[in-house]
Amino acid sequence: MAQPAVVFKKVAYTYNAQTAFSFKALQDISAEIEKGSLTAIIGHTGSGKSTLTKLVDGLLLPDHGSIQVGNFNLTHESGHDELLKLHREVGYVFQFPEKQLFSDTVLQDVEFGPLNLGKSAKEAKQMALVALDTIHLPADLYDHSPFELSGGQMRRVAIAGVLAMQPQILIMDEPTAGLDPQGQTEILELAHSLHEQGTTVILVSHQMDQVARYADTVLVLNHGQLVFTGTPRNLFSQLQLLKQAELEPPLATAFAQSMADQGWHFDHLPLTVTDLGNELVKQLQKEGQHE
Amino acid sequence: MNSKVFFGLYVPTNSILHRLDPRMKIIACFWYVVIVFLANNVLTNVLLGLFLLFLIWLSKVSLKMYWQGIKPLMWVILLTAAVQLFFSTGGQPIWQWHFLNITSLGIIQSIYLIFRFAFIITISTVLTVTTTTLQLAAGIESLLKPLSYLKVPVSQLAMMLSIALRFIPTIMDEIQTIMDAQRARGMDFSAGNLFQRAKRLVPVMIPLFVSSFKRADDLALAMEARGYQPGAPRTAYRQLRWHMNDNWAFLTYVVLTVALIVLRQI
Repeated sequence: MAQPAVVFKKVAYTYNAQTAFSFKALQDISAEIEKGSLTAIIGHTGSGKSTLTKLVDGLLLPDHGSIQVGNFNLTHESGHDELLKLHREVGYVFQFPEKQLFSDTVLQDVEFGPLNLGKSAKEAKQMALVALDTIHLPADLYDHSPFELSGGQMRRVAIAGVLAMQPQILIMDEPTAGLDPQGQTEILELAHSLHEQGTTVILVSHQMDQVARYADTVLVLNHGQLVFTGTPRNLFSQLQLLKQAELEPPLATAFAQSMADQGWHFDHLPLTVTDLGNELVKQLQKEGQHE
Repeated sequence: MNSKVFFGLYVPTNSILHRLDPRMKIIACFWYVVIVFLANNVLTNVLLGLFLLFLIWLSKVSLKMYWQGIKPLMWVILLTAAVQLFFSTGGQPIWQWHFLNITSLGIIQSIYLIFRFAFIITISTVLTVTTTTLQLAAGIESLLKPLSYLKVPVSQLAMMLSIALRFIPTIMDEIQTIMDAQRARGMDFSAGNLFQRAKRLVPVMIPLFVSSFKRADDLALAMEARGYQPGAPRTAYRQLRWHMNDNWAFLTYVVLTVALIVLRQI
């Protein structure tokens, strides 16, 4: 088994502890995220997904337990300087990241991260150009104001702002929310290619089709507790578990399930449309042989 | 989500104070602030303090919440009290150094001043923790109604007020998110001198302005789409109703005021 990039040890987090508004967001989470994996964190709204990812980047510190991220061990006592260094290892793409854009030009905005890391102006520019190249933004837009871009372009520039810091671990919190289908595919393909280049990608998602297609590991949260760790295939074959966590199976899986109810038999549970198509072709060929 | 708990936030404990008419509560709060200035001796201050404790007990909100309201203003209070202490004259001089002097009267007055501040802050907190922002706006609108005869756009002002109040928590959340996002991009908010720190607000303020304007635009569109017309007569879903308890509250205040005026003479 590969070396883990992130290890959660009995992690708990409560918002607004000791007030009338205290809310237990996470309870007793123990899990590992493998180095170089593309791990999806799923769960219904309010299940603690974003809290968990904020803990990985040290934006929140756990009330109990500890989180091992690379060489850092985060507990409720972790200090300010340690967290600053942690931000170099972990990149965090927030929900609607285009909200964090502020500079006069696209290039300046992407340089912001590297400059914060103490890079020289020249290095920062170089890192920014590499990142902008990764997101396939036309070069003539580099000196435009980020506020002049389209929604999908702004999203990609904001992601470039995080990529420019060249993080070992990249967290993306619902990176496709509010984008058109093409924009969604672009972002996910980007995540996938980063994953193939060796970056550990943690993807928070609501869309099971994305999870089925891209993730190699899934963590399922339900009311602040970890209810499943494993492969998407394993998860989506457990209908009972999905129902309990208030999740829907991917479209292709649901389709196959309802066919199975009609008496069809599948050797492998299809997770994506391509899977489903292949399975159906096999079935139809079998039918043909019988006749 | 962290920022959601702050000074004066509405706490839904459904106490007897929560169920009072907001108009009564607004008048009561104002009146209390006025009569705080009538307190001129130990007895009157004790009376006001006990009355406030009684309200806090009625509100079923923990003392800690109220303390959180006073805490951030503690320095202002102490500074004002110190000015009062060192610069007031009258009474027996106790200590003197150049133009600074402490007198017996000065000590007493600065202690009263601290109490006055604490009372005023706490009574406003009682109002806001027991009254939702919508109720507050409705109460203010109703109380200002007479001004509409003077062509003052009361209902528009009330609408502006309720929108402003409604979006305070939203914007505080937004600030938290943007600061988190910039911190994740390696920004250190706490290092450097005052000037450097002020400069660091730029990556927070600009996104905040952008999203606030966008939100305002969306809100205006949504309001128009739902037929909002400034100046047109509007009805309210929840009508304000004056109950028997409001009469009792009013009576309590009359008694308090009379008692205060009597105790003043002693």
